[in-house]
Order: sequence, then C-alpha cells, then structure tokens
Amino acid sequence: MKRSLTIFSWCVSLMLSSALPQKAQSLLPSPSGETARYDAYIELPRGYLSGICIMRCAGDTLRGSIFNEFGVSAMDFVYDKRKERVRLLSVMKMMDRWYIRRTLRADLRQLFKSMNAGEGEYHNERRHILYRFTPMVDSLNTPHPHDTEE
Amino acid sequence: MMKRTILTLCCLLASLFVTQAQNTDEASIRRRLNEATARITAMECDFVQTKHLSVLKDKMVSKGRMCYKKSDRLRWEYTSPYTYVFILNGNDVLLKNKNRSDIIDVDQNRMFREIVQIMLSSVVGNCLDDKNFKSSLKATATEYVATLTPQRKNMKQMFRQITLHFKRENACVTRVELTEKNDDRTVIELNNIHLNEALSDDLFLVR
Repeated sequence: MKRSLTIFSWCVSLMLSSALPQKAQSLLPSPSGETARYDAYIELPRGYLSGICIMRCAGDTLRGSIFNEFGVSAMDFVYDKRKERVRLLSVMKMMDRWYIRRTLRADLRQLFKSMNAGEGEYHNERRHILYRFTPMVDSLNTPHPHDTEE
Repeated sequence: MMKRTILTLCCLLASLFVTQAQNTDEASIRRRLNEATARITAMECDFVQTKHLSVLKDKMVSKGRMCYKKSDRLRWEYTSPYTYVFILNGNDVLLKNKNRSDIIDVDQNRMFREIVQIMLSSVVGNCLDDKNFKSSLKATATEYVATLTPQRKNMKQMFRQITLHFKRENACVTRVELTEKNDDRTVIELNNIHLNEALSDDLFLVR
C-alpha cells in the first residue's frame, strides 16, 4: 500500500512539474568567458541593418560588437547586467548622433532584458524600430576557450 | 671641414639615388599591375573573410564565393556561417539575406556607392591610379603590396587603410586587408582563383 502511494505521489508530482510553465533559457552568454554569436537584424522605418552581433560575458558585464556581413563595424558596446545599463564604446560615423545614441542605448537595454528572458526580439513602438537577434548556428566560429587573439 | 662637407654631399647624393631607384621601382610595379588588371575580363574564386574585433580580441570567420565580370558586374556570396548575397549589375545592387531581398540603386545610396567602389577596387585591384586613394607600393619576394589610404570623406569615415596583396607571378589580388577607425581589421583571402573563364550572365541577375 505504502509503495503504491509513493509511486502515485511521484507520478502526480512529475505531471504537475511538466504542466507548470518552465523558466525560459537566457539567450545571453554566461558564465564569464563564454561568447555568443547572433544574426542581427534591425528594421527601421526607412530601411534596415543586418549583420552579426558577437557578445562575450565578463563577470557582470557583456562586451559586444555589431557589424555587417562584409565586416564593417556598426557599433561596440558594454552591457552591465547588474545595473541593466548599456554604454556605447563606438558607433559608426553615419549613426554617431546624440539622439541616435540615446535611442540605441535605451533599445539595446530593453533588447538584452528580453534576451535574458529568452526572447530575442524587441520592438520600439514609439519609433517603429524592430530589433531581432537570433542565435547563430555557427560551425566555423565555434567558441573555443583558447580561440582569442592577443 | 672639407672632409665633412664632402661626406655630407656624398650622403645627399646617395639618398637622392635611393629615392630615384624607389620611384622607378614603384612606377614599374604600378605599370605591371595596371597591365595585369586591364587583362582581367572575368574572375571567379572562393574567399575566406576574417573579421578581427579589437574590443573582444576575437575573430569571426565567414566563407563564400565571388564572381566578377568586367566592368561593373560582381557577385559576392556568403555561404557559411550565414547566407547573404550581394549582386552588383551596373547601377543596381541586389541584397538578399534570410529575412528579405532588396534592390538598391547605387546612385541613390551614398554608403553603398562607397562599399561597391571598395569591393570592385579591391577584388580587381584597379584602384592604384584612383584619385580617391593615396597609394604606395612595395615588392617582396613573392608578392606586390599596395597600401591605400582613402581620401574621400565618406570612405575615410569607414576605413583608415586598405592593403592589397598581389601574387607576383600573375599580378592577381590574393589578399585584402581593411583597417577601420576603431582598429577592427577585416582580412579577405581569395583562393582557387580562375581568371577570364566564361561566366553566365544569370549569376549577375538583379531581380
């Protein structure tokens, strides 16, 4: 009898745990030293930017770079995960205006928060900008602990 | 006193001869490269592009295939780790990635005009007498190396320097290095190069 009850309660708990919503897996690289690569797509009201985003985790911060398919840099940034703050290290000359920097900082912050919750998309509805970062299936650039440049 | 004057004069003369020799050398390399470039009517090759990121001290490698047909048709296609096609046909550019496909008029888009010019100049190597670049040339045992410094404002905003490596035996571009203002560097290596072989016009269709 005891054994039947134990098996029954184990089955119920298993069913309940599978029915409960699971916490989505973060799309951001973690732990420290891990690198992640994404197909980056930013759609603007009058055009779009596409390319690659690479991010590396270093403690509480993420360092990243976004560049187009030809390798031309668009921006370099640092994201403080604890303070949820984005700092732009460099922005390509064409986009280097204070109001664009301000929008980028705010939008990337929202995007990274979404990515941390497992959602690789953020839509700035006020300015009609869509950010979509999809993890890259990448056989050529599989991160290796010693595969960094000096 | 007299000895010192003669010595100084000799040094001056020697340096003058060295400069003269360098100029002659550079002129002959330039002539050779220009002649080789003029002979290219079509080119097809594989490429490996390595982007060196200064902020991350990391690199990103992508691979693809390139086709060129004189004088303004270029197909630049990335096959791994992402798919992306850039086709230039006259003034029209087709951009195709997994999300969308767009046709752009190069004359209407300042940034693309610059990118197209750099790509064409780089793969064919016909920018040595281009006024948009200040160029210098040197020869090593196996190759000629052209260092180009952009002169136009828009191009200067993107690249600090472009270096082209030409194979000495056929004066064909085999390696392109693009250095950006943020110290990032993109190296493109061209492999399996086929020169002046028939290429279908369908490769360059923009639609």
